[in-house]
Amino acid sequence: MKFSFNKKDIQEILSKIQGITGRKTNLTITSDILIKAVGSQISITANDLETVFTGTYDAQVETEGILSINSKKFFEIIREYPDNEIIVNEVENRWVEIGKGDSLYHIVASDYENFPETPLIENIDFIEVDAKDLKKMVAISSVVGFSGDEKRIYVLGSLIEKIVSDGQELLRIVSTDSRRLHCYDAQFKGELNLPEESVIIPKKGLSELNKFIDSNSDPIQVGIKENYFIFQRANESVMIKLLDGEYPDYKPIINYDEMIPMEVDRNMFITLMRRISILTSDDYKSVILTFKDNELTVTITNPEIGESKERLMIGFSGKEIKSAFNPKYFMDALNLFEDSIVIINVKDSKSPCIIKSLDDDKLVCVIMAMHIS
Amino acid sequence: MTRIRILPEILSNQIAAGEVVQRPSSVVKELVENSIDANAQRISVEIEKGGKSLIRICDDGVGLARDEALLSIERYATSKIFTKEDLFSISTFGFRGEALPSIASVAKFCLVSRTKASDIGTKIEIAGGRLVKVSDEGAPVGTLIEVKNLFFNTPARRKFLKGDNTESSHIADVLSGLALGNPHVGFRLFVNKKLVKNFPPGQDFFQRSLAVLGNDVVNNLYRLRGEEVDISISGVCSNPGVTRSTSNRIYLFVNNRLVYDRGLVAAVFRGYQGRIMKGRFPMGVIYVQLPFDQVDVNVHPSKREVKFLTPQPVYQAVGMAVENALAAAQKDLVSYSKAKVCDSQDLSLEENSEGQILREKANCLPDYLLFSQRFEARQKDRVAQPELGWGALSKRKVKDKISDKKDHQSFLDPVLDPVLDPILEPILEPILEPILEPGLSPVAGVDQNDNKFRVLGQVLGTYIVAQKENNLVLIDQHAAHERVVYEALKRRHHGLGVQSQSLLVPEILDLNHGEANYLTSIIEEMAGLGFKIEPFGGTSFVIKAIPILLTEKQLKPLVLEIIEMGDPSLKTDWLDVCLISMACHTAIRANSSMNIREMEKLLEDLEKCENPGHCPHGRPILVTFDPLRLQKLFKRLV
Repeated sequence: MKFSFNKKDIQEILSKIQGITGRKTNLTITSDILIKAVGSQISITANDLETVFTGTYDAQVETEGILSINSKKFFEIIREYPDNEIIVNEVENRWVEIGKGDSLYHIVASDYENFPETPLIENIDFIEVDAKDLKKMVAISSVVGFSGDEKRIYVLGSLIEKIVSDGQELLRIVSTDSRRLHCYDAQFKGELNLPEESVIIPKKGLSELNKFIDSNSDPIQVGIKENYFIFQRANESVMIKLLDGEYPDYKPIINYDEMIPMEVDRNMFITLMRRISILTSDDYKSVILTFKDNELTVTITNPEIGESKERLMIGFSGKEIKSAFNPKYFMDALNLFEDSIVIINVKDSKSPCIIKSLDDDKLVCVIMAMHIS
Repeated sequence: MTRIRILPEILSNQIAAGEVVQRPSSVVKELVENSIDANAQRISVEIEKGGKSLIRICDDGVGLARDEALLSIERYATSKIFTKEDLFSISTFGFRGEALPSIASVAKFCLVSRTKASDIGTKIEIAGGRLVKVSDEGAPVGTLIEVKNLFFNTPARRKFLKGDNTESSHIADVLSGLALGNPHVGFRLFVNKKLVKNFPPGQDFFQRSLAVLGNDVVNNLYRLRGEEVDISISGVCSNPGVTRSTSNRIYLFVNNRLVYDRGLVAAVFRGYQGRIMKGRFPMGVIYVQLPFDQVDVNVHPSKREVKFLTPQPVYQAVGMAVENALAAAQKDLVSYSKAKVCDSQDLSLEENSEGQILREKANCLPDYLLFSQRFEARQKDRVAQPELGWGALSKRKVKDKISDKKDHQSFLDPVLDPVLDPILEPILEPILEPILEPGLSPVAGVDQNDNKFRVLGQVLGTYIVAQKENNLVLIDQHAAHERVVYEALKRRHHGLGVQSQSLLVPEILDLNHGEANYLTSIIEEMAGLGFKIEPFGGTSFVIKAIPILLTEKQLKPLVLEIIEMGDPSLKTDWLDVCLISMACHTAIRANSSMNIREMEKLLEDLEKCENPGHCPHGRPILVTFDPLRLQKLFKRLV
């Protein structure tokens, strides 16, 4: 095969797929990208067996063909190549010649037959989701992270659900690490048919997806096929393999019906939490929130460091509530909102704190309490 | 034809012999224990061909009258217990009355014995369980037993005996154990007519432990002691720097009986926790005394196993005793951390080849004597050679270290030029100052009582070179700081109160019945550590909240481990792991240069630590070279 392309067209996308192909693995073919030259286009595919990216780009194809080449090396060569037009030519026996004239590379390609199969995108009922909303969903999912050797499916992945609220169908994402839970609903166009079992998308795949979404771009096609969740936009698509498992029943947790709602200025609350969290340390992370007579007092007493106290006016009357929380979780949650006023819901010293926006339930964040004894 | 019959006595004795007499060393054990029970003061054991052709045990105990002697070879004849009650309060070694007839049934057996009251001794000869001859014999007071051609009539068992050397070393081990259990009794072991072990009578247990454990523990053995209600622990344990690759140099005695009990070994280990590297085993002799009715020794005919009525308090007492002994020993950091690199190399030989064991052990006695002489000589040396040029030497060392910082080459090739580089002057100032403290001459005398660390410098950006009580001390700065931070974190953690994080998705544990019962019994205790666990019907439990330092991914295995171990003290291990990793991350790294003030402060803090000898992972923090060792290194003393 032989083709040439414009450096500008390809370089950016090559950089974006490094996350998929850059993972440490013993299956070296997943560090490759697959390049297909057909007609007047080349398609580039990256596949780490969990997340698959494919995109098609304009190119001048002289002879058609397929090749599998190391993603990192190919990207670096393209990035550093001095000319704008780059020629790729498979010479013989999987030897690939890149460039011409003064800068010339001879690269060993792999056998493309070994490249993992790309799921077919056919006969899928896509729905349309706003790029901005999708970006938000991904952000919701990634705030609550996990550590390397995490095993719990519901922490490794985020739940995707269709819910009906006020007669409107919404696409919901739920993300948790068992200490807090975030839940976000997005509008969509079209008809969505989700399988009966829980649809859990790995958080890692979603964070890769994030690189391909531009908030200002057109709406994104979202669909599900077999065990892949598919995101498609113009000439590019990302497919994420779903996780197998049950998602815990989260709905009772986000129910704030019997809680006491209070309006809080979001910015003030964030900065308060940021100030109070100065006195936390690796082994001491709890601050005490006391709600009493229209006043919220937040205190921390970290032995050997000192203590601090913050006060905020708040619409609260009733029996005093004293509860301990990790202030970082508050900052994470509050940063997800855009409203200037949010509602925080509390009940008693052991119950979680639920944050939502003033007007709607699009975004709901639950933070579990701590016990100090 | 009746199919069920009573076995002929010879046959039943041979079967019993299978349990009691497994190999020559079991014969030695049974017979020597008899001798000790007979109040013998000196016992000599002679073996030939690994005990296969001859075992001769000779004692100066009370001896047996003729009637007793004849009775003793009958099965279930014993002088040691009479009633059922006695069985549950056994203080003698033997009691089953099986040993002599069992041995006599599988060997050519000869017993000669005389009591003080009788003028004539009795000689009984038995072959393969058949009485051959009973006659008068002139003999000293005491008993002599000869066992020849062991297993001559049970070829199958003879076939399974190991080589002569192996069997001999088993016998030597058995005798070592018995010698440790009875330090007042003298023991001698002759192998093929050569004296290989001699433990003189009238030793105390410390002397005996030194004699048995060998050279490398001299000066590295600490006494331990512990008292609980009804339980008394004594013994010795080795410095964590002197270790072996197996646990077979931990001798355990329960009521003076040598036993093997995994729980006790684990308890000893717990005492060493944080002081010993993974995969290494300390040496030691632990004596546990407890009321006879608190322990069952009648678990197995060879009596190597015991069962405690309530094991936990015993294990805890042992662990505590070991830990206290080491903590006390550590107060003298200098001798605790003496460089032991060479010694431990010598020893690996002894462990590896079995043929070697006896030879090494054969040398043990003269060596031990020699050693005590050497030891005395050492002390004399110390007095006689007071004027080592410490001050001057340290100056030079300091300078070497400093120039080393500047120029790596010079580390290999110490600059001896006394003219200091002017740039280095300011750095050197504070170093030299402490040496010139009032009351200390630059050439420090040996008698100086300076028990603080004096920092001399840093090498390779990793080790602090210091002087303490005339010893050269090298300190691993990372390990030292790790220890300091770890202990601070730990102290702090105890003061923090329990913080536990509620879980949004409770973790469910499915246990079996026993585990569930145990967990129910410790739910309260677990709550105190920050685990909120509630029953969830049947044998299931939900974990609703966990300590904040813990990440959930470790959770289920951790709780299961706590339940499996069934030991409350293990419950805080996870906490240590968290704190250790926090300490490790905040501690000064290796390869980072420190100034004198920092180093002084570090050593000062280190000395205040509970366990300044080891980093939380068990690695040594400091290595000490005493003057003697330095002299040896420089061949001033050969």
